[in-house]
Amino acid sequence: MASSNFVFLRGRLIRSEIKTVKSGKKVAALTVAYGREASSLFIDVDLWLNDSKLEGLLPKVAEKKGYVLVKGELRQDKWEAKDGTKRSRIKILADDVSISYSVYNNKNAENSSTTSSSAPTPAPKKTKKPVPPPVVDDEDDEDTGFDAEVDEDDIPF
Amino acid sequence: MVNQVTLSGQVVTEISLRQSKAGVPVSDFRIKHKTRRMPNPLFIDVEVWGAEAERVAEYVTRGDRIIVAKGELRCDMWEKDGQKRSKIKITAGRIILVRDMPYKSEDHESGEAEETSF
Repeated sequence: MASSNFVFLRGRLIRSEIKTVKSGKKVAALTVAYGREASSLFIDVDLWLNDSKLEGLLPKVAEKKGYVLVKGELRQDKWEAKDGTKRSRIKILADDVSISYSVYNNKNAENSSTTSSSAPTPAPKKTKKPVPPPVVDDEDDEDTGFDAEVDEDDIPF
Repeated sequence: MVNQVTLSGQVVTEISLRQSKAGVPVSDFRIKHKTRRMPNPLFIDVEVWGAEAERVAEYVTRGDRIIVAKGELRCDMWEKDGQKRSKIKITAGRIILVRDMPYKSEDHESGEAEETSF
């Protein structure tokens, strides 16, 4: 069967860690936040780096919680926790991450720089910080999830 | 806001159909996605709302292969033993049922040995 697995997500980059694996290849471990606080989605994104420019940029974007556009596919990591329970985490294996600027955001930045006269360089607009990501450790048992409450207002259609 | 998912897979649970508090039909189930490139299969919950949920409950059964289209990644959060838990799932706008064209049994048997001659 022809298989398809495609994800396209734009959200705020809230974590960026560059790791080097044994083979010498570099991988960026990112966390992207999507949506408003009440219904936020936090998802881990792995990206193999072949571009040194992006490697330098990602931590800066993460510092400002800037927007990124992620293209990739869904994957699942599995491991055993210290207490012996099986854990799993759904993440994105990205083949492309691009820095995505928001028009509205730039406008806000301008406004803030004019109102705060002291700053010669437009200080990064302090937007409401996204809530810290919760402990993402989905238990991999077949029962959970289906009973979870869903807020009707969050449903997009 | 950009949040798009398309994912093919096999349904590994029964299809449940329930009503939301507002009376909207909701269907949920879990799918398994596996390709040769992937170290482990991906299991993810899928949720469908509205008329499509009723269609899914009527036509899709466990074991069927589907494509989850017009999907959106979502996160369910809850507390368990005072710890915050979260689960990533897909809310889908459309489910496409994938069926194999059946082989005639004689074609299938002879076909495999002689296929190379074509």
